[in-house]
Amino acid sequence: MNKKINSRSIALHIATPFVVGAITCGILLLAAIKPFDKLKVYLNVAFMDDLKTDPDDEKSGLIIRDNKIISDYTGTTSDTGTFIRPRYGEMYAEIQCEKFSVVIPVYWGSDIQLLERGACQSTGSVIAGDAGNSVISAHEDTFFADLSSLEKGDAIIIRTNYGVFTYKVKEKIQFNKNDSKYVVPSKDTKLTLYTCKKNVLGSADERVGVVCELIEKKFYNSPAEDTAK
Amino acid sequence: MKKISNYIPSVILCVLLIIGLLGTSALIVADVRMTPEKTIDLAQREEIDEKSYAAIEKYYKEKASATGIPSDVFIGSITKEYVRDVIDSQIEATYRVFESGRAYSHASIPNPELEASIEKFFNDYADKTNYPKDEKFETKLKETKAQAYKTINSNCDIFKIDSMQSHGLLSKISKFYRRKTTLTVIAAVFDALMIGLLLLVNRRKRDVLYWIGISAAISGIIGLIPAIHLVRTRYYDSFSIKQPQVFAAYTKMLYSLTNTFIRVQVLLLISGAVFIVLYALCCRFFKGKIAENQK
Repeated sequence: MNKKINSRSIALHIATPFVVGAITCGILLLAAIKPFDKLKVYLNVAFMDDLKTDPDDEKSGLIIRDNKIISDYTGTTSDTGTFIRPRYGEMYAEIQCEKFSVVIPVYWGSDIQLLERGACQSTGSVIAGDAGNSVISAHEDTFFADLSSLEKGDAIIIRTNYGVFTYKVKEKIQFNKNDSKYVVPSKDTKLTLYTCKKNVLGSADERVGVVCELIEKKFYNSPAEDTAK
Repeated sequence: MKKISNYIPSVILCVLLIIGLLGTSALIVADVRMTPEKTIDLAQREEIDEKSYAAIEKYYKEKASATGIPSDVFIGSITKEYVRDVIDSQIEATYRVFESGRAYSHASIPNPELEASIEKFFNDYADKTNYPKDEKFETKLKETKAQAYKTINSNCDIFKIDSMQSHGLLSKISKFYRRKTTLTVIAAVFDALMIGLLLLVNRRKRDVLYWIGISAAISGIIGLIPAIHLVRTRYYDSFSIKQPQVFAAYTKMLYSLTNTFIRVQVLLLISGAVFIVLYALCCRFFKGKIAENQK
């Protein structure tokens, strides 16, 4: 009887570390998912560099161009100016908002690889500051994780190398992925930001976002300066 | 230990202690290694100033045909010692930002030889081409000097602090840095609390040796496996950073932190083993006493 108790005790002593180890690893893995996604965002934003190309991109023909966006312009500005049209795969703007934890790079074009690096602007939409609908999307677990925290009246600043544009959130939206109401071209000048609605189970068919109106334009060059040159 | 009323709470406390020990060891590594002196020492050991100097040299050689200013005008007066001083001062400025939480600003270290070299080139060129040394000339000269300092500072910004600030990351790192010692103390107190609760939960106090032992050992193993994997597979070398000096600075810093973390985890693992052995010896001792009493 004593021998049985002893062997059970030994078995318990041996099995316990494995049980505890398995529970701890499970908890740590689950807990690390969100911080890992956030870390990827931070790493991507921190290590952006000019003309950084990923070897995989060469196979797909996609050339990803990371540009340094002017953030400390001190010269004169005007509310009219010249746009610098980006190329597909080029980072042409940054989104800044108090409610976002990082400054979000914006790439021209929608691509799986570009979505890993930042927000993507639909090439069917207009570039920031231009008349019409500027449509920008990003992943909900990385760059647009804080999008749902935006409220009406929040300011969103889009910095480009041709100017800085301030938008104000006008309405919060939700639509099905097949509904193109908010992403089609429009006559009025607006900014549409959207991402997938958080859904733990199943695929995300719903999209959430905001529509913003343009309230301020500051071009770094004016058409008059250009003609003078 | 065999009673469910002791066993399950002990398992829960053990899991919490493991997580606490992992957190404490990571915070200790950050607290000990993230100092301006250690960072400057790392930069000097890895000769990052050589890479920065090479980058500056390459920049001016490439720009020579576009600007019309020969690279020697700049490179001739920028020494490796000067580059090292700029790197060191930027690192110190960075840690000051971490400690204060204020915006990063770094004043350029004056280089009179560089300024004199640029002035000489401009004056010689103006004399040769009869270019009037008017206000425009002075402005251009001033801009060239300012741009030279900007280029040097940018190439010596080995941790891309300027870029991190403009992307809103510096404030986050600063928040953590200012609290790291407090967080380390909190984590240590948490570990002590878990040990205290284990003492409370276990009737036989020697069982606590077992729980502490396996907590430390498992914590050591959980920390060691990914850390060793990162070092063995040279994971940080896969970062695609274009500038060699920035690449070297970050990868060396990360390897240094990871290696220190590995050492701490090995210590934890050894401590865990010691506690388990002590527990085994205690068990044998008490079993021997019981057998003696029964005789």
